[in-house]
Amino acid sequence: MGDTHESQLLVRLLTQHHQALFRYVHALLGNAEDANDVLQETSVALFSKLDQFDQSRPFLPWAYRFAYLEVLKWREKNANRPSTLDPDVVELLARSREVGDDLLQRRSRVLPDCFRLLPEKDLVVIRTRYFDRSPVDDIAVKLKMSRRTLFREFERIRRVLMDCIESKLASEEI
Amino acid sequence: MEDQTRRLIESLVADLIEGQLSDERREQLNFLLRDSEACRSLFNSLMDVQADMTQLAGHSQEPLAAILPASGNSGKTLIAPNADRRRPDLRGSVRSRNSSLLPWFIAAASFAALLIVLVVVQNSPTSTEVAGPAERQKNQDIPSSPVVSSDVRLAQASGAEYFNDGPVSAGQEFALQREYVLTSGKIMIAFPSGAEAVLEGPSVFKVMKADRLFVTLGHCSVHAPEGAEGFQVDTPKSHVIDLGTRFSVNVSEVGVTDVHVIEGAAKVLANVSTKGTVGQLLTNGQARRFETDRDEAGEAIPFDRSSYVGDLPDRVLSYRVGGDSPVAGDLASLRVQRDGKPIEYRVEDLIGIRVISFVGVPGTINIATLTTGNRSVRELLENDKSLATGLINPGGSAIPLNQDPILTGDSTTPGMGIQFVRPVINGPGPDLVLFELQKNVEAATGDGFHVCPLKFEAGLRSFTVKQFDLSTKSGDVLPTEVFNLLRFDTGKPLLDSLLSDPGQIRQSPLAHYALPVGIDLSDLGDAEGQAVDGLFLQDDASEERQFDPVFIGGFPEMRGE
Repeated sequence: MGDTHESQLLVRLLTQHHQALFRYVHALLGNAEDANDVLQETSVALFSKLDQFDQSRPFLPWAYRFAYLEVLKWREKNANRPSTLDPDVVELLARSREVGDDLLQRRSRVLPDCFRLLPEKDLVVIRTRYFDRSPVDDIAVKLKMSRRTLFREFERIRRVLMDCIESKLASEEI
Repeated sequence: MEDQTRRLIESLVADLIEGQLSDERREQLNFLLRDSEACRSLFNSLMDVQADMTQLAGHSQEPLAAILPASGNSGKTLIAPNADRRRPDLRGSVRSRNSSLLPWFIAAASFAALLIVLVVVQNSPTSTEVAGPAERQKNQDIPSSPVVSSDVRLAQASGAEYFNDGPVSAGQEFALQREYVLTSGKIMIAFPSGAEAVLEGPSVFKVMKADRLFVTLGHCSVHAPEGAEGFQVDTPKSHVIDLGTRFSVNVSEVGVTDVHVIEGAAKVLANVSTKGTVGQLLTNGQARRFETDRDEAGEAIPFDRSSYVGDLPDRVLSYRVGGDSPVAGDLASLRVQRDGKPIEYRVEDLIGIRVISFVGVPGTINIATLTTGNRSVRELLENDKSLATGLINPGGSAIPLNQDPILTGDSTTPGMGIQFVRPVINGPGPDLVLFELQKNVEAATGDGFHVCPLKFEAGLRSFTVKQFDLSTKSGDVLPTEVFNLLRFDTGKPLLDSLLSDPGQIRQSPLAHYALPVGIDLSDLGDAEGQAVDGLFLQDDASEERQFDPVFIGGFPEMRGE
């Protein structure tokens, strides 16, 4: 491959679907850093096989297959690292994501609205950790809480966002 | 999905995200994900929230210093902010009744299976080889019988549910050597010596003797006051012997035992002790983990004071009705825990309400009433003490309000506005009680509802109650007396039409129970000492069932406490 038109097409598709692919890989690997690495490998694989992509069909299901294979390769390459999810569970999760992709994408679309409803203090803690990338220990010291309590705060925020997403989707269905 | 399973997955995913997942919990996560599509779907949703949250992080513009000290009064309203509740363990997840029964069944079955597997693991041959106390051997040989009474009783329960049966009312006795599986909530067990143990679900335990508890799985906090020294908590790996203290014991799925001593001292002996060993002495502020049943020294772990739970959450503890009737007629008194202390209020002490707006759900029954006699409907609804009369099925919304409700005119907001006859002062714990009618064929924990201020001043917000303090299973609630139901065919039911129209009288053939819940004004953003004139209530329309308020009363101000 290497055709300019096809390269542009891939850039456009990856830009459009980057976050969906990131979510897919992130869920199967369990952490963002590894997910970013695997996403890069997936992009390379997609680039090399783009000529096989049928443009009359949706991009994401096709791209997910490559992402899944890259996840498996990454796991094989890092077999000495303790993995969180068993191989059969990864396969089940991937299948579940592919079947439930529409709903997952709908959930993701309403998340920004929910995010905006978070209290300022929650937004700042999230930003400090994930945007400014301040170390967890520093944040915990500043907030005068233990690491464990800080982790529980993030668990609480995720739960609030989940509740909000579910409320919004339910109201869409009424 | 059952709340219990949902919370477990949320907690496992949190540990996964933070890189804190232990081997045992990793196994647990794999087990759940392997077992149920509902669990996989929840896992994927949670991971997606995390993935998107990190990407959206740049949306917040304030530096961290700007929120210190954090007041939390941002003036923004959170949707379903139940996680901020004083008892997140009870209300921290959405209970959706729109979902089909199948995923619920699968989730429930998974959890039950998990517990059973765990119990089997604990009773494996490896365990029976150990030279533990005779009681332990007996415990393993006789899984759930004989049922022998003890003098060990339930002191308190909060949201407690068992996989099998178990005591749910204060004063009920635990059978000796019978295995109890507490699937959710918290219980406090009182031992004859004065020792108290708080167990948090999910836990599997047995009362072995009047001064000995066997915890197979879960979290237990013990307070053994003077005179109760020697109280013992056994686990699959260790024996924790009190030396006059407060301590917590956490037992993992594979029996690994963490002991945190909050006050005083405790001695820990391995299940298979070397002859002559004196055990590991732990004192105030020390914590150790005991991995195996031969682990005599244990390994130091970070001490966590918060691992000790001394009190159950502030809440409505019980209520009494007038007369000797076995059904709930007029409320006579109420016991409430505020700031950790039980307080009894007579119904005369409570601050009454006046209904100032009402828009019901069209096509539903909107009044539950006894025979009216010569009294007006308004009088019956507002001034009576009956737990069987009220304006039921108020309208609602899936999303709580974040702006002032409209109380008059054609655009009146669905729901019910109430004004207290005198202001309720926000104090520690719950500040008012709300009772609802619930059929025993409906959700045992009651129907969810939103509560918000009449005016959204700075810092105020809505709050969603997901669960009542006493459930139809709690044993402390009473069936109500038979009442009439009035249906109105007036389109959108409004307060004026309900009060003037006779309506069509129906009677419900089903038994109803009166469930109470305490509402803490702090959950609405009110500051301590703030006077509150009224509130607005809405059904949580994200649930299938509407809630049916029948009695609301504010608590008198707490003075000098």
